[in-house]
Amino acid sequence: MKTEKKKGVLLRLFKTVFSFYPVLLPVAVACITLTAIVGAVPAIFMQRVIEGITDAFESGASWDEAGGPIMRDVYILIALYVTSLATGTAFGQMMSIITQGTLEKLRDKMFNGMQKLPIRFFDTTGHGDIMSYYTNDIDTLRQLVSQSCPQILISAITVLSVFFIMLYYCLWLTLVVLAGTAVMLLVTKRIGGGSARYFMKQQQVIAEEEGYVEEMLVGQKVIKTFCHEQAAEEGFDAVNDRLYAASSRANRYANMLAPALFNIGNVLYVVLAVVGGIFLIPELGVHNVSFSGMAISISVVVPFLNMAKQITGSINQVYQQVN
Amino acid sequence: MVKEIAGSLREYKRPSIATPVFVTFEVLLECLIPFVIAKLVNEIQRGCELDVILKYGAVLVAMAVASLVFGVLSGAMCAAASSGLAKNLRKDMFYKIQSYSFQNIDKFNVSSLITRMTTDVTNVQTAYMLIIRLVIRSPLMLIFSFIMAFVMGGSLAWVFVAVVPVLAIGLLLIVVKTVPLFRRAFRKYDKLNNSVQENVKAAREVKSYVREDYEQQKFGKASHVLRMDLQKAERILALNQPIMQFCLYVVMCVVMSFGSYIIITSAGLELNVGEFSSILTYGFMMLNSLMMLSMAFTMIAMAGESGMRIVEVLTEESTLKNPENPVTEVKDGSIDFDDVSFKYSASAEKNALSDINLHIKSGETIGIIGGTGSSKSTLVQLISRLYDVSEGAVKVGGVDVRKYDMEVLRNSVAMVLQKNVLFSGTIKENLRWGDENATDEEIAEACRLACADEFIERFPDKYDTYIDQGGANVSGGQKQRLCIARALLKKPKILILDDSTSAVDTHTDAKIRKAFRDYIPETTKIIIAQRTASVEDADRIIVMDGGRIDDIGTHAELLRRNAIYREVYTSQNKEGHDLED
Repeated sequence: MKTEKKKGVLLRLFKTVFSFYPVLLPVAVACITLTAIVGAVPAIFMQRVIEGITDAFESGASWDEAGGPIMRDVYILIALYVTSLATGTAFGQMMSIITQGTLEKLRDKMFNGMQKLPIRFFDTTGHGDIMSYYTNDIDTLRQLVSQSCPQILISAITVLSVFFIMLYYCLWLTLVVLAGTAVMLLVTKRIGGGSARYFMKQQQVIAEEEGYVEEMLVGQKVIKTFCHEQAAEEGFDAVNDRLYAASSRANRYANMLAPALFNIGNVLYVVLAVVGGIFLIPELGVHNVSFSGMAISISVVVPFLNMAKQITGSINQVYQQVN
Repeated sequence: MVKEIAGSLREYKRPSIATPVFVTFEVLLECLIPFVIAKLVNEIQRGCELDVILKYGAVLVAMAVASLVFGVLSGAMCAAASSGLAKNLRKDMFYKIQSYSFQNIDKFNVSSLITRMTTDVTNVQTAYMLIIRLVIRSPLMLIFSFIMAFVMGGSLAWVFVAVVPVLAIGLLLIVVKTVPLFRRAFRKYDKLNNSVQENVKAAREVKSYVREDYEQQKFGKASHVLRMDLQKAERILALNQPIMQFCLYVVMCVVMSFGSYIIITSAGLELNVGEFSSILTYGFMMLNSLMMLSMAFTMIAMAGESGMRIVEVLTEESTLKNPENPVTEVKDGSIDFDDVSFKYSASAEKNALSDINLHIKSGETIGIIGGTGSSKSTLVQLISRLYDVSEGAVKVGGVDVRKYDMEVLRNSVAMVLQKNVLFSGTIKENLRWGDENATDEEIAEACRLACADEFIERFPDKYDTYIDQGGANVSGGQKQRLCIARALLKKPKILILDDSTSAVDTHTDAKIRKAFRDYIPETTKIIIAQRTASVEDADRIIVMDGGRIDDIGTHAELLRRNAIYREVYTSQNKEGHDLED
């Protein structure tokens, strides 16, 4: 129910931004897609280069003989990179315009709409609530349009591209990465859930403390005439201590997540190296299953290590945004 | 600024130091893992046995677990340290505010003080978290990866010597350029929000004067300027990603081409496939840590503004201070105003009070009458030293109020303010503000004098009835009577009622005054009132006009000779007469 509602909001947001920028938005999305795909492919080039190196070792070829194909791959990579830099830069510039333009248009729409509302609205709606549309809600929207949405898009494309590249090389190692990813998602959900609960608690105590401070400051003259400063301070300390407890617990959970994800990534990295190493032992005679039909070799295992890093990195990024 | 904020760390210094220590171990382990992986890859390439692979695997998993433990520990310490700093900052601010005079409070205003204690403290808390964790972690990561890259990659690592400064300078330039832009934009943002707030508050006026179009145009213009500023800043900030990518790409290309060249020409002696792969990992770690560092710097720079706003509160000196060697006993309830003038702030043009000379004997009952803005309340607030005089002197019991210990003075002068405030808590708790050791009988007695007992007894929970914030669940008249009872419990030498019976019916009003006469005859009583009926039986009545004393006399005298008093009296009695008809 809740996620459905969120999806609905995202879709509406997308439609709104699209109606403001019917040309710029698709161009920006195309740019970021291209950048993300180029970011995912180096694994292919790495595999080919390592293959070139190991082949040269086996055949005893010199750099003059083996260097040609390797450098050709590097040149192609450079060309891809130049394109990616151009589209990436363009995306950043376009996104700044789209974000700030959208916010301006929404602000104006909101203000003009407000002018047409009947007086009754202003009498019945808290002024703080109205202000919060202009400040908190606009801020959240900025975060969503300029950071969260692009980051989630980039991560999704990266994960997907990398996943296909993995399948291209080796099904078995892909399964290992998938298992690792599942564990990461599980941990994220558990720790993330805990941290969300405590952050909510923290918000609640913050509101309480704000209420207390307001009551005391408004009644400051009474406090002074009755010399009640000390009692006011004691009352404040009680709320403040509770806020400390909630805040440190919430942040403890939140701070736990990054090292947890990072080190699960490390373990995954290790497991891949070990599993890959075991597959490479000739006596075991493991058959590779892959789209490429390639036999498993060191030139496949090494890029896998890097691809695993890419995937865990992407998950980490997405979590940061969703948080 | 840093010094003042760091002063609030106190008991949270330990976790603040522990955090970077744990972070160091965490980073060290993280940087060693790719090194061991490189060794493993080489073993595999050479075609090693299964048990060698498993041994490496076990070592690596142990390292990851250790790194996780240090990571979680540093995270927990960091949470404790930053939340603790925030707690102490809020505490120090609140305590400081309690020592403020009203001039101090007026200077900041209440809502700004609340923002400073909440939003600004949260910003500083986040920045502190970044400082003790990320700002330590990133440079360490950079240095360790750099060393590891050189240990493994040899000459190949020189590519980092070329690339890292490029990225560092690029990111630094972006931070330097964008931070002032963002700050300026946020200030404009605040202004825009303020104008929206004004518009919301004055919605009625905007509509009745048909100013909607004008307001829309004004808002549209400000909104556009803000957008252009923010857009400019964000476009510069958006260069972060391409610069980072450029450096990463250069590393990739150089490592792939020169790396394979070195491996093949040296036959794997100077560099091998395992190292080749790990050096890319190190490259990524280095560049990423720089990226994090620049993000952290931007956020910390932004929090600087919040820090300044907090320090302003902490370093503000109260304009009301206890004297050295204060007088600790108030002799009696006599009051003298000698040539007193007063203005609310030094920059105010007009005096709120001018040339006040007044001598009140202990035990006298004084009434004060005057129109709104005649500074009646201001006059009495000088007695309990809520404000200090600008010229002249106010004396209580023959001693200048500035010579008393403030608590002693205020305990002898009970004041029921025009803006009555009850606090959330039970009736009993509220009344005990007057005397925390008051017995139930004393409380009941005070309520009887203030005619509050009759309605309290009708509440189901009687004296334990809970009062909501601001006293929202009792009526105005009930609130006034509770406030009078609260003041009576102090057993003061001087009792001041500032328009405190306006919501009480005339019959009860008279009953309360009679109780004062009968039960606390030696207490000096000053009664500010709108109705002449409330002061008729006072010993003397002061007529205030425009911050000056217009006349002093008894009811009969004033009725005969004072125009203002006569006018107030006749208008009120005529009205009363009309109503009775």
